[in-house]
Amino acid sequence: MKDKLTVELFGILKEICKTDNIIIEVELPINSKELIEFFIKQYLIKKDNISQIRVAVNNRFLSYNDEIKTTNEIIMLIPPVGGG
Amino acid sequence: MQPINYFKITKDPLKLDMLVEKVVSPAIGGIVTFIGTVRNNTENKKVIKLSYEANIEFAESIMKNIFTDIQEQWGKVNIAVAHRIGTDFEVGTITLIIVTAAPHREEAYSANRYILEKIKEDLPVWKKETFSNGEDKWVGWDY
Repeated sequence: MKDKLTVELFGILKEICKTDNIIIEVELPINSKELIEFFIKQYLIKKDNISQIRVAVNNRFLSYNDEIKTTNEIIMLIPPVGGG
Repeated sequence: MQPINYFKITKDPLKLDMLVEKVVSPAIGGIVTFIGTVRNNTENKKVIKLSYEANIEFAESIMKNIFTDIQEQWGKVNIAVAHRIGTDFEVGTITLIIVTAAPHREEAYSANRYILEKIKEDLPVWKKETFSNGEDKWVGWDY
């Protein structure tokens, strides 16, 4: 059975998906890289953009191998930041 | 005494003097300021406006880590940082101010530069440029 992750979106990703949060159905645990790959496939984003998206959970950036294990965390997909 | 660590993301216009006031103290020997403004061009294209959005809670968490880094590397540096968010900022608008104050100039300069680079790298603020031809583009995204 698949788990439902609520994922918050920002900037360009919010524009592409036309919403500021989405539900992604995956089997947990899932690592950060797998989540990004699943997302870009689902929303037809080009593969070149994989390296431009980061995952953050509970206000902390994940590395590619870090896993998401539960559905009750605040998950964010972070496109390139541009402060300044 | 603990150093002053002030950070704000706001829709209101940024004022340098308000931030400088936050970091002054008798033990301070130098204050360094960085002011980021909207530039009128990027990659040979004419920029007419910039818009910013942020995740404030995440940004505060990132900035807290930056403050810790500063304290570990340079000791007591008073810091005040403000980032503006909102839409359609015209060329010349101030969008970022970083003020660092320390007993000696080396720490104040180094800390200021460090904060700026970390903001560029990790602060969850997103910038959209609007060009004179009407197109717009999120900075950093490969279209």
